[in-house]
Amino acid sequence: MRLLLIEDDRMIGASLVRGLGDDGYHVDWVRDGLAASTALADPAADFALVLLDWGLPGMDGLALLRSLRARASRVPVLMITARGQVEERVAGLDAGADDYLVKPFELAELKARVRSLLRRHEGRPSGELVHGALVLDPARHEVRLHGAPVALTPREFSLLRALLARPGLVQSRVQLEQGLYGWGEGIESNVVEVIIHALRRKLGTRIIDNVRGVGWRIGAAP
Amino acid sequence: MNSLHRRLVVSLWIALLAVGAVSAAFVYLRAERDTRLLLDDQLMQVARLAAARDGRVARPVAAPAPDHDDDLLVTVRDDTGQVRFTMGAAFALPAVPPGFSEQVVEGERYRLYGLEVGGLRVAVAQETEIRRNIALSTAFAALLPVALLLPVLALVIGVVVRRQLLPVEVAVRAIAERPPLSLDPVPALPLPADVRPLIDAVNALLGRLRDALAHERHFLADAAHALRTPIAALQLQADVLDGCDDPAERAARLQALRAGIRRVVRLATQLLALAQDDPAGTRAGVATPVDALLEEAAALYGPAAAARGVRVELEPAVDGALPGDLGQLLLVLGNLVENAIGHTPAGGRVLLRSFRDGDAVVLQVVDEGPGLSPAELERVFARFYRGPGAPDGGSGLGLATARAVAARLGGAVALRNRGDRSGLVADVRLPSSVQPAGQG
Repeated sequence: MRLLLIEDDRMIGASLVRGLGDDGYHVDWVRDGLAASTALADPAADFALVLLDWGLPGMDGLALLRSLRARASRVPVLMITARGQVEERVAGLDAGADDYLVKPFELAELKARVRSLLRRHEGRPSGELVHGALVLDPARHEVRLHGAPVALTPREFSLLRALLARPGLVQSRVQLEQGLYGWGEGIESNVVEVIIHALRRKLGTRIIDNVRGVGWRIGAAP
Repeated sequence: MNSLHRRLVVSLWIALLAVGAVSAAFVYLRAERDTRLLLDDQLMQVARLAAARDGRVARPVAAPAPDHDDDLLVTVRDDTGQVRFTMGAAFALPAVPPGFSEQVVEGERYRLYGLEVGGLRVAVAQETEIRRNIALSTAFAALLPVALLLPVLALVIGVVVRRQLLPVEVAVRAIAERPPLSLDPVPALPLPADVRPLIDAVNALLGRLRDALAHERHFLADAAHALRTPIAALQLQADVLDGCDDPAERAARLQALRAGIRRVVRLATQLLALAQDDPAGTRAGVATPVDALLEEAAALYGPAAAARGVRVELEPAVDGALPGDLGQLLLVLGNLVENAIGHTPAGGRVLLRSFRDGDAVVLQVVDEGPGLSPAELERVFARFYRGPGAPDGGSGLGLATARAVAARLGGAVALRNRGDRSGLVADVRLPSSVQPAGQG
């Protein structure tokens, strides 16, 4: 699950990358408006969610948000800003933000809001991703099969989550890699195959279908 | 009560009484004198009449008969002293010399007039008591209008003064009835020209208060806003300590939290220094040697500079001491050194110098950065102002703090571009402290 963080404060940015990384999100972090608009315009980067600060050097966060929505992007945007006045929150939401969090805030609340935004964006009624007897709980970072917890590495969890989020949809290697790595990280060859092999070993071989030459999708429900 | 109204009324009443008393006295004395003269005249005429009635006075007396015949005593004698005729009383008046005189006759005091005409000696007398009564009643009659006018005038004064002072009362009420914390100007009232300046002065004062208060509120809002980001960072830095089991990663996160705390402490120190506008907050007599200050600044910021590839160089310091303790002086100099390091490219140097200029000591921080546009040289001192290329994590308070603390120590801070190359010179001018401190 790849998120874009647009935040100019070095300390807040570093902490958010760490905190969200603990939950298996991959966070790409940019610190000014120009880099942010470049990142958002990158068609290869398929961000599941954008965390947007209002006051940015170069380009205002709100202007950035407006231009994003003007390009008909539907990516969920969570504004995180020190501007807490009612008018400011209204302006942020009206400009196209899906949620608004005023600094300072607790990491737990930010994570809950991220999960909630992703759930709504994916059109799920509850936070858990359920596929037959397989349940993935993003809030507790837990996977259960027939009620028994299954230990997964963060990358395994992340890839399974990506597949469960779009049931029936075949996702390419590049798409899946996007969720695991940010820019500048050297992608190891065959990493997707290695993770899928591990998932099949832990959850059963039929859990993931391989569509030869196209990619992978979630398999029959266990 | 020391009210203008009361004082006006009382002083006008006193003036009125004084004028009334003087004019009453004048009227009274004048009336009494006129009456006496009139009565004397009457005595003379009656004397002449009496002489004529005796047949020896040729010239008839044309004067009308007096009203108070009964009050007048007349005695006519011949030149031997024999009484020929008396009138008004059973006894004869004694012989009197010609002209007016006063004497007691038969137990009463009389005013007399004597006349000698053709062998007749006429004496006319009137009781002085009667004369005084007549004079008094005449004089009091003359006083009456003045006495009646006085209270009327007093009343008129009271009403007029009250009416004329009404605008003042209106203005007082307009000020008194304002909401407790309102600093809006007192509304325009139809006031006389001599009261209007007072209201104008009050309004001007309110205006200055309003500006000062707005300034403080603005500062408070800015300060609260400036605190949000560092505190948000602290919160997150603490939050990410949970759920991290790897010791190395945990140590890194703890270090980040400590850096966050340092940032908040620094910001709080700056805000506090800015909020203390009180010159009395500076302890008198505390001084710090110039060389100790410069060495401390170089030692404090040298490592951070070295990490950026910038050298901090120290020229030999002048002898002498500066007012204030080391902490205060570092609030001034430290912010300037930090800025200089932040703007100097790697491989460059920051120079710390000092020299004497008359009674003052000038500290200079010279950098090799890009310098500032002339418009920015002053603007960068504004609180919370962050110029383009301001170092990361700054609050925009550094220069404002430096200037405020320097001012409190009796000094000044100014920035100018270098003449020889690109770069900025920060001049800190402080009064040389007379007593050098015993220890640095």
